[in-house]
Amino acid sequence: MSLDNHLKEYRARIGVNQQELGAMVHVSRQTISLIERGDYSPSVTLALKLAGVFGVKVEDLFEYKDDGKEEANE
Amino acid sequence: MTERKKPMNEEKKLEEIKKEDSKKKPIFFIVLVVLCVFGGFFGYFMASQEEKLDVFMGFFRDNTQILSIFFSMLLIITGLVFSISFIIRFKSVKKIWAKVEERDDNWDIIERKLSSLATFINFAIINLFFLYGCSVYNIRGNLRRLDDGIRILNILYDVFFVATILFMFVYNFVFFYMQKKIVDFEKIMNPEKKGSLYDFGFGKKWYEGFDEAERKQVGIASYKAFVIVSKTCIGMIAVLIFLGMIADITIIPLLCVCALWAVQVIAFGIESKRVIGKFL
Repeated sequence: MSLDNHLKEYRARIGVNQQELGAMVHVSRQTISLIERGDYSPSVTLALKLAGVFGVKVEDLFEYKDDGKEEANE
Repeated sequence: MTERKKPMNEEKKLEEIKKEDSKKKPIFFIVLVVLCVFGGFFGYFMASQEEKLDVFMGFFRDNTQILSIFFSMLLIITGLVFSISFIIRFKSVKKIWAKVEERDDNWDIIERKLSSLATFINFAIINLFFLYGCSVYNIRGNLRRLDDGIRILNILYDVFFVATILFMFVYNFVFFYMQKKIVDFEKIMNPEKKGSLYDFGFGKKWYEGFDEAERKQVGIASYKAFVIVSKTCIGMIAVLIFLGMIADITIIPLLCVCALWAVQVIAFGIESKRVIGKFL
């Protein structure tokens, strides 16, 4: 299973860098980078916070795709 | 009393467990047999080397003064190498950081470099303590000195003994300062990070500054480290048992490794129990 996201596009739209976005939702820059690369699936709380920052629904930001594979741990 | 029928899901799972076990069981037992045979051969080989081992151990017992000088020199040289190497590597990190416009692209590279630098310094500290222990090993109840004919060695020993203690303090300070440099740099890169190295509760504060992704990363890394240390302990215990059979190493090394393993297992068990039912 994979979680596609449009975080980078939305971030570009409001003109903030990864560190600034991280500060807005109280996470590190590294976490934003991991989410954007698809290497980390955020918690529901963080997903809601991110959607709140861009003023969109979580489903607009994240897209779930079931590709028959288990989520990797690393 | 009739046995209650197991739910469908449980039966399915039991079948799955049996299937998985039957797949892995033969390999598991083959590996065990191979290890036993290897252990037997290794034990026989070690026993046949008993005389050589006695000479080897005797060398360490009878030449503690010369070995102390050697380890003192090694402590001074390796400490210097570690320090210079750190300065060069840390400068290269700062150089990458200085390119403000490329920071976003280089961020992960810098994080990785800092992480490997932190490991490097921890290794330098372990090396320092090990060599310090070897250097002062000679200073015990039956301090061995070579006969008066080789006075130069006695003078050298005294000089290096003092130098070892001096350098131990100097390098301890230097390595602490290097760790501080890394922590401070991390704090500049990630302003949300808190904690001072001068604070005895630094580890706790630093951990509290981690977000959900960082905690997950720490969890994965800790579990892998747990597995590696456990395997290393098993290997070391096997070697020490063999060595103990043929050489006078006493039970202290075995006790140390077992104590280390026990601490790790107990600490991991307690912490695992503590986090059940609550997410950090």
